[in-house]
Amino acid sequence: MPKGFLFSFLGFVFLGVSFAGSVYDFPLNAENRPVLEKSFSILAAHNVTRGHFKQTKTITRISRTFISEGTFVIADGNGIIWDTQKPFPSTLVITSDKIVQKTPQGKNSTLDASDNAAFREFSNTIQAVFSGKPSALYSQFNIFFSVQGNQWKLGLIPKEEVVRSIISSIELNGDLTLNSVLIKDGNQDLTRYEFSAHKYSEDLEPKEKDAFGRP
Amino acid sequence: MLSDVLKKHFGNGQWNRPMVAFWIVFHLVLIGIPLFLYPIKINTDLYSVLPASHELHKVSEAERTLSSKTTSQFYVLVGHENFETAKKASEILYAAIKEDHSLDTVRLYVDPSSMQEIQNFLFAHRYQMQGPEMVRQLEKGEVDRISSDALSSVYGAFQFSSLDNLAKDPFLLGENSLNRYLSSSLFSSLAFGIKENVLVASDSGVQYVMLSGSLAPHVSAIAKEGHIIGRINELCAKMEKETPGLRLAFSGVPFHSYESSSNAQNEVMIISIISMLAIIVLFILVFRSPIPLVMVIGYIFVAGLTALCCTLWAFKEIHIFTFVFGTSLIGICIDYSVHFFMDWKSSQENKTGFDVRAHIFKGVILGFLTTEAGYLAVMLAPFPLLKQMALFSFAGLLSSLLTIMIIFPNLKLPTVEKRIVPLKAADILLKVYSRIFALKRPAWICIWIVAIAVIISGLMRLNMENDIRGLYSMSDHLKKSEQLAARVMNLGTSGWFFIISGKSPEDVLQREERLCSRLDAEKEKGQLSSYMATTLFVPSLATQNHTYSLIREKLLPSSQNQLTQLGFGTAENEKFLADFSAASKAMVTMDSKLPSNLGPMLNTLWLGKIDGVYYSAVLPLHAKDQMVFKKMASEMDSVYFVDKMTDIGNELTRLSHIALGLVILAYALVLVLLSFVYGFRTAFRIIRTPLLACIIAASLLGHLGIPYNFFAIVGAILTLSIGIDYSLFFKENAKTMRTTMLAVLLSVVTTLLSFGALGLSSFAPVSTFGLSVLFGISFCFFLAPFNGTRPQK
Repeated sequence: MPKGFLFSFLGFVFLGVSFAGSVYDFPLNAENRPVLEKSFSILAAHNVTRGHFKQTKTITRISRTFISEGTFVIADGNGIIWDTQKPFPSTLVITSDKIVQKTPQGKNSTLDASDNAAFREFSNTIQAVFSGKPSALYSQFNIFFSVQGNQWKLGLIPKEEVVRSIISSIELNGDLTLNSVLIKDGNQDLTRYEFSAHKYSEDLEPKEKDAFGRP
Repeated sequence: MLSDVLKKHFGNGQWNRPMVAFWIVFHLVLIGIPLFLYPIKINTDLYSVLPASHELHKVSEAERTLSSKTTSQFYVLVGHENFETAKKASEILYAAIKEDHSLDTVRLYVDPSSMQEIQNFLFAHRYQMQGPEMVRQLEKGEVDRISSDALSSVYGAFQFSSLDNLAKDPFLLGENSLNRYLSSSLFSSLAFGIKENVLVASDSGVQYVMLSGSLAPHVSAIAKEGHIIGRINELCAKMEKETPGLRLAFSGVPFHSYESSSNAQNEVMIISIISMLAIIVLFILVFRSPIPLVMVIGYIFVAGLTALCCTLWAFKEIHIFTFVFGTSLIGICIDYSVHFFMDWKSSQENKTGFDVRAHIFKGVILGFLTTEAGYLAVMLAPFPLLKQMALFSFAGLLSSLLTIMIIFPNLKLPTVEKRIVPLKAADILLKVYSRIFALKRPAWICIWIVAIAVIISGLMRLNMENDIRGLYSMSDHLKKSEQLAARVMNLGTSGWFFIISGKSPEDVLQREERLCSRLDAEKEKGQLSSYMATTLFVPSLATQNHTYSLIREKLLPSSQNQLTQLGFGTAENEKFLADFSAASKAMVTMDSKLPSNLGPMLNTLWLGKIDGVYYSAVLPLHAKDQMVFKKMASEMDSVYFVDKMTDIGNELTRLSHIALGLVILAYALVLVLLSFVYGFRTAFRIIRTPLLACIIAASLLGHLGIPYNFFAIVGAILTLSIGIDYSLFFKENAKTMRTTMLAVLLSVVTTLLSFGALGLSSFAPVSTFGLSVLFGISFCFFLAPFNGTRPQK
């Protein structure tokens, strides 16, 4: 039996066992880092990713769950459009220099991230998480990674205590696409995003360009 | 031993005991009482040099309070490409100074819970603290919109605040308040983020960690051994040397005050040493006896001490620049002693020192009166530093006159055969003047035409602006440091701001809110990015009550419906209503417990009660057209636009005109005085010399492109005061023209050395003043022999 195959087999068994437990038991290391980067490179293969999302917010303290759904656009170099359609519509546009929130009733709040390091960091982190760019995550998170077959899990715990007080952890699940994201906030409340109906293209549509403020 | 010395050099058996007793009592009182009453307090604050702006007399105390708060603050940015290295270096600096008693505060680490504290504060006061947009919606009754927006946020993505309190806050008023804080306060343009519990900003690939601090109130910024700023500079220089790639930027007034006071001290030392060395060399060369030198050193020491103590008595402190300008007193004091010793050492007719006094009496007294008249005039100028300098010189000169008239005459005369002075230099000068006087009429006409053309062209080039930005030139190191700090911190503060006054805190807060609403409108137009104001965190009680009432009237009727949409029942609604009712007492005032990390900012902005009136300051950030904001303040009651730099420049110009007017008045009085002594024609000839000299000096400054600002005008005032002495000496001693020429030459050289040295100062006001006097006195000396008593061959 070739030696390389044996190592691969042992690695598979090891990772397979690990996948059954929590991703946070498996810190990123030299061994699994190339696997992570390969998995993410597939996510980042297209300029524009569109799809459907279902968001489930579980607020433990008040025993309430808020479910919403809508569409998303992740555009490399431009940002993210988060268009919540049901039950209450709202749009969130995150770019590297601003975070804009709009509602049909006319609410339009803009946080300018161009001069603000904290907003810029938030914006870049959100984009890094959803757009498949692990290199942008290394400096801000302690990273955990496990894989089983073509299914992978990525766990992120913010290095900064001040960020941890807002976001306790982020867990991403995917294969060839990003399938779900679980965000645990500082109060241990959970927000789960489930993605489906992924579509890819190389260009933005005109209304998406408008939303990003691109010509 | 002392009595032996006194017997050897003093006496002549003619001690005028009552006068000597008067001299002793005079000096004991003027030196002893202030030294007993007041400690020697040296003011090194750069800003205190500047006058309170005329425009802002009403709020000058408030402006000074704000200045005193901001001028003690400093920042050190410790940068490196590697964040860990930058943080480690900043921790070394922090560890070295954190316990220092010279510092009021030192901050490196940020409390991770600080944001949560702000969030909790805004949530606790959500019924009182809503922004203008929410208030407008409530006033318009747009309840559906408020309700829908809250539901959209609950079901939307990525919230900054938790939904844990949703039952208590179904309309998300707490989140709305937080968003307003995040987008409209200083926070929105904060270049620093938090990393490993320190504030860090990035610039050109370098990570800068910020350390901030403030000097303790008892600590002066004056440079002295072991000063905290000096130690920070030394430690940073050491770290920079030991850690390759470490970049440090310093910002804040303490660094500038330390550097300028350090320079001023060095300059005082250099100017004093140069002046004293010049005096020593010249006195030994001219008098060839140690007695005049020893006497003059003692006499200058007494005059200087008297000047210092009188200034302390009157002002309770002395400014470092009074010291710098005061060194010129040496040059003036020497003039009188030179005239005394010239006669003492050269006249064969004198029998005692009292004969010497009699010979020089009229010239010295007239010179003294005219000089003191000039100082008195300057003392009337409404500018504390000028008053201080004038009093310093006035007292010093008075002491020197008393010493010349009371103590010096008791000095034994040299034996007749030793009464010789080297007159070669005087003879050469007299020869030059004889040739000038011998010039034919056409040559004089040519000289006049050329001179007038050159003078007029210089005067036409005179720049009479008082731009104080040009007065202080910081060192290259500090300049680069400030530029780097400004780029990294990107605070966007302007050199101007608003001060709001009112009869009560509530009155001030209401006026400030009216100003903020105008600023919000300008923000929409892009005239500014943001502003810092007290009312962002402590709205007026009127606004808080109004907001609370609006919420009660408009939102409360819909609370049950809103809670139902969020899945809550009637029990939660009852709790919500009870909570709202209890919150009626949760008004925020300046006495409320405010979030700890907002403390320093609010402490700076809220100026409190000063002389029975309350004040606050509003600082616009990244503002564009200054005129828009100036006009805004002019249209609002009790809102003052403070542009310290421009206002002070205008104030200096106004003061220049007042000071010049006062000196012209003093000169008119001198003309009247001299007319009684010499007749109008001769009196006019005497005073025209310094007047002409000042005009030519101004023209020369014009040719050199040096602004003829307030400090140049002060120099002209001194020229008028000192320069007239030379004309008087030539007039009074026409019979002994050779020794008079030598005496005046010696006086001029010592005076010019003092002011010439000031001309080399790195501090622009001192240098301009020095050059103005240097040129003025030089021309006075050149023109003095033309006062009607022409030197003969």
